Amino acid sequence: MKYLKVYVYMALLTTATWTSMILTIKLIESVILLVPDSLWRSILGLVLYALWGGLLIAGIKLILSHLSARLAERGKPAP
Amino acid sequence: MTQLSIYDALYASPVVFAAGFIVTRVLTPKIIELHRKKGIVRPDAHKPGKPLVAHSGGVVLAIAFTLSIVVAFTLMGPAAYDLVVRLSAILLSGLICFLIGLYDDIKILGGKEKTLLTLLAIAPIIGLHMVYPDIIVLGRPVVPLIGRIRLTIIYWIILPLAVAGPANLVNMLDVYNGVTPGMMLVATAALAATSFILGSPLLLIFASALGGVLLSYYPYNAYPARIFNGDSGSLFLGALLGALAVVGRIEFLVMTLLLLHIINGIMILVSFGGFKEHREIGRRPVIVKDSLLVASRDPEAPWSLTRLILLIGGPAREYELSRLYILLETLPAALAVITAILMRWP
Repeated sequence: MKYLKVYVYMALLTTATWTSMILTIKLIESVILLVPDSLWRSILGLVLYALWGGLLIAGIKLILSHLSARLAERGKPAP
Repeated sequence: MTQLSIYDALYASPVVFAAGFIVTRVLTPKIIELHRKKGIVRPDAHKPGKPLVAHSGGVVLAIAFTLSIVVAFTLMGPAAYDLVVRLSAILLSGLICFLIGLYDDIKILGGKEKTLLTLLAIAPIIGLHMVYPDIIVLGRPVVPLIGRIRLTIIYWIILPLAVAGPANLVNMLDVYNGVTPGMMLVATAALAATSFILGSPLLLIFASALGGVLLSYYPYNAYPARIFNGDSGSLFLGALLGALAVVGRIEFLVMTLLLLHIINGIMILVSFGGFKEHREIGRRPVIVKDSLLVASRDPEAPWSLTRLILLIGGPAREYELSRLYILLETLPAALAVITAILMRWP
């Protein structure tokens, strides 16, 4: 049964990642379309996709450091 | 030029599958024996007594997959000219990563050197695109519900990562017996299903060849492994998927299939601070205690998907974790099938 919990958590994680990927691309594409078809549109695309990558890594870094901090908290001996 | 339909490929696919299965079944015991004779063995770190196991299963995978593709070429004849070009590009990219992995299996490369060398695997695809621009079409990937996205400059910037990325991602998760061929087998089944949704003979032939090889190879790599995949095997399998994504223009679909690998890869890269070989890591994310795999409670230890799974589910034996990973791959596989359906959405 303990693996059912892992399966449910991973189902949520993968589905949320997949959905957010589609939604973010949709958002970026909508913004890109606001600019007339030119080199500027390509540059805007480059900037927005790079920004997304950077924010993603920063977000994951934040989540992992939060998880590490919680583990450290649990590992402390009781006062 | 004659375009091959999915129904033409359907006749060839059982033979291609059988060829991969039989060649792997005949070849694997011989390769294991040869490895033992030549001393190409490594200790299995997760088992009591650390038994020595043949190390480069990639040799079997590369030979068997190549022969299956040759069988496919022979069966489909000149009508499948475009398919031959596209499968050749995929195979050549895979073989470049296989050779890099094989060198690493024998001589040992650093994490950064290995990653940089795998960037070369995109060369056959770009080369064949320059010769056959109508057959190997590059650029503007399809995303479900959106259509062809406007990745212009950035597509060419990240193109070298298209094969190297999946190759290294699969390599990063190839830590426990049976995980890589098991997960790839589930991914291959999903590719076979999506071939019918997308009407793609390329996907069907690829899935038949790889499916036959992996189904036959899995029992040898499953717990307790008689042969490891080695970097030659994991880099080869990952590179094949990456090359298929570019050549088949199914980048988002393959990215979906590799979601667990991507999550694991990002966790490792972010917490390790770059590409590092397991030999270069001080604190381990997972500890072995009496044959049980336990998530490290050390707040300074790096993160990996396995550590997260073991924190959620508790300690596990290696075979339990391996089966769990294979079961978990059904999630990205299901999402990939949904992706294919949505890609056909008007």
